[in-house]
Order: sequence, then C-alpha cells, then structure tokens
Amino acid sequence: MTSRTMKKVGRRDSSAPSAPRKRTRRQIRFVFVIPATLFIAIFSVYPLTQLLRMSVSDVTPATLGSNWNFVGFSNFSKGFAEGTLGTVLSNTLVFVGIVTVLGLIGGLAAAISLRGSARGTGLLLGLMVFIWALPPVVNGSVWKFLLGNTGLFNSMLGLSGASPIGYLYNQHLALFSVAIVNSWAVVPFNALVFRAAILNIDPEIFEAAQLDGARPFQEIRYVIMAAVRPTTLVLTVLTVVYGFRSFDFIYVMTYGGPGTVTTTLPFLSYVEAFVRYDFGLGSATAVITVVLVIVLAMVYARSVRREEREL
Amino acid sequence: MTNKRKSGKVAPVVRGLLFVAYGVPIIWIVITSLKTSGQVFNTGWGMIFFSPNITAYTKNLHGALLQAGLQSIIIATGTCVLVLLIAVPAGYGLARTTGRIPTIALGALIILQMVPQTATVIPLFQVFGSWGLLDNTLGVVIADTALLTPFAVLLLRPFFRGVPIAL
Repeated sequence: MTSRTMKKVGRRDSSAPSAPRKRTRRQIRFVFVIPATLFIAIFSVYPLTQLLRMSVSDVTPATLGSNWNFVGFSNFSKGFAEGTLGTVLSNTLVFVGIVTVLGLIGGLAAAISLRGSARGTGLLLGLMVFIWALPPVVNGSVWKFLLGNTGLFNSMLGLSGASPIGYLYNQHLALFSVAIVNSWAVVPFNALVFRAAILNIDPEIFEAAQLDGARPFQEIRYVIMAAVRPTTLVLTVLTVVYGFRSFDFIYVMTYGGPGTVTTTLPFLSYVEAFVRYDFGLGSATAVITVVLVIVLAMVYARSVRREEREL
Repeated sequence: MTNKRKSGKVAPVVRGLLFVAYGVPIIWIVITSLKTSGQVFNTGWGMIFFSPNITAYTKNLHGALLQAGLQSIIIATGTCVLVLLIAVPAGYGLARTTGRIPTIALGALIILQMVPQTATVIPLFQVFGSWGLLDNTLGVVIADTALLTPFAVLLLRPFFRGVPIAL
C-alpha cells in the first residue's frame, strides 16, 4: 500500500510532498467519530445484543436483573402458537400497505399541487410542516377526538340523521382508520421531499414540454413522474419503514384494540414486554420486527448508492 | 407562462382538500379547548355554536403543568446539546474520510435509524435498570440521544461535505 503510494508520488513530482501527509491527515479525522462510536456502541448496539439474548431466554421482572434461563427458540414458537403473532403479522402488512400507498400518492399529489407559487402555497406548506412536527401523541389525540362518537365526523353524520360509526372500535374499520391517520401524518414529509425533487427539474424541460403541446396531465405523467423516480424509490422504503415503526398513533388511538385488530408488531412487543411482563416473548417479537427492518434497510442502502452513482 | 396555466385545474382542488385535511384538525382542537367538558359532548349545531370560555386553560395553569413544562425543557435541551456534541464531530469525521470504514459506518447508522423504538426500549429498560438510570431524567435524555444521533449524523454529513476542504 505504502510502496504503491510512494511510486505514484514519484511519478507526479509537483504534488509529491503533500500527498502522503494528506492521506494520514485524512485518516486522523476518524478521531472525531470516536465519541459517537462509543455512545452508539453502549446505548444502541449493546442493547440490541441484549435484545437478541433476551429473545432466546426466559425473562420475567423477577429475573430481569439476574441470570436468564436459556430457552432456545421457544419464545418465537410460543408467539406463533398463541395465534396472535400470525394475526399481528397480517395486520402489520395491511397497515404498512395502506400507509405506503396513501402516503406516497398523497405526498406526490400534494407536491405537484404545491410546486407553483399560487396564493396560499406558503401557508399550506407551513401548516403541513407544523402538523408533521407535532408529536404523534398530540396528532393521535386530536384524531381520537375527531373520530369519537361525539366527534366531528359522527356529528356531521348525526346532522343527516345517521347513527354514529365506531371508526376506532369497529373491528372492520379500526385498522383502516389508524392507518389512514398515519398516512395523513406522513404525507407532509413525503410532499416536502417530492417537492424538492420537482423543483430540481430544469425549467427548460417544462418549457420544451409545453412547446410540444403537452397538457398538464401529460406533463405530470412524462416529466414529473419520470424525474422523481429515484426519489420515489428512496421514499417508498422510508415510508414502509415508518409504517413498520409506527407505535404512537396506535397507542393513543386504539391501544391495539378492539381485541388485537389494530395491534402491529412494535405494539405487540410493547404489550408483551411491559403489560404482560414477559420480556422474552416481547423481545422475540421485537427481533422479528428488527430483522424485517434490516432487510428493508439494505434495500434502501442499495437504492441510495445507485442514486449517488447516477448523480 | 403563468403558474396557473402550468398546474392546471386539478391543483387548486388538491390544495383545497389539503387545507381541509390539515386545517380542520388544528381548528377543531382549538375549538375543543375553549369548551367546557359538558359542551365537548354536545352534538349537532351546538358543537360549532357555543359560548367560548378559557376554564380549561386556567384549570391547567398550576404546578403540574409548570413542572411538566420544565421537565420537557430539560429533556429537550439536554438531548439537543448531547446530540450536537456527539453528532457534529462524527458528521465531520465521516464527511472527510474515505474508504471502507465510513461506508460501513453509514450503513450501520441507516439500519440503527430504522430500528423500531420498542425494539430498543425493551433492552434499554433492562440495561438502565441495572445501571440505576430508570425513573430518571438523565435516562430519558440518553435514550433520546441514542435514538436521534444516527439521524443527526446522516443529516450533518452531506452538509460538511458541501464545505470546501480548503477552508
């Protein structure tokens, strides 16, 4: 390695003295990364290894601080045998599917309608960013109010004489209600990212499209959609992961109920660990979620790298 | 070549829908906060036309709210300072180094950023329990910092890359 550098240096005599020094100086900059590495190792990576250990052990509040009995994969099989894990997996898939589709379509539609400088655009963007910045617990409480039996939606129905609908406690509607509210919360972020991508498009391309007689719809279809494709790929993965992680809205709005209708994987692991106090079982569920997320993260990393190469 | 022509006729409709979707919940929560607990359960026109009052606010203005507010400020400030202390050097370091290690580190950060919170909360509960950090503001600050550091580093790195090396 060093000899090769030296040879190169010898050939390019003008920059000869500075090149090796630069290289070492570059690598010295790893010093700056040390605090973060230590912190993450202690408070992120070490807990994750503990999670792995707990998932194959029998951990109760009594044995939490002491040695755990190794029980192999019985926590995982217990989850499946109880039947909840299967239901919850399908709940999670439905939930993530709705959040992703609505979040992306809503985000793109919002971005397209907000790309100009029409009146109210700034206000609307500000409003959406404000909502996005609110804690999910607050947003969830607001929607619980709106969707309750005496909330805005049911009162509107009441004015037309219909009986109230249990958006949050009807077993067929609850999952959809929570998923739709979750997509509502993710649309502002997606809209901002899409909007940035659209504003990056060279205005000349729009002019050319207009000269060719493209109608607004064709402009959206062939100019905007084509230009934001790499962004869409990255955002899809981010939105899927967002859906997978979602916990706050479910906790506030339905607490996983009625029954287990709105329980998704993260919420199930929370209930198992901190309500039923079966830390091993909760860890096993959490491990399944983490594995799924890691698979998605790899897809994300690959798509980011591909995009960076294209740039 | 006005913007109106560019965005067609659908865009204003979409903007109107967005205004409703994001404005109504906010307005609604403000309206609800001005009702008495009896009025909250009024249906029909009574839910829009009512005599506003601020009892809900005056009732809340006592020690518990101030204490909760102070607690929030402590946690927010502590987390912010700690995240910046850790993430700024790391963002700089990862922006100015090359090779395989930064690539691996970035991949790890992306994965850590995506791990569901419950998956870190369960073991953190155990770890903090054995270190005496439970029921403790410092514990919350550390947990929040651990949660936000990957995001902060990933956000800051491109920024440092944008600064010319010559400076």
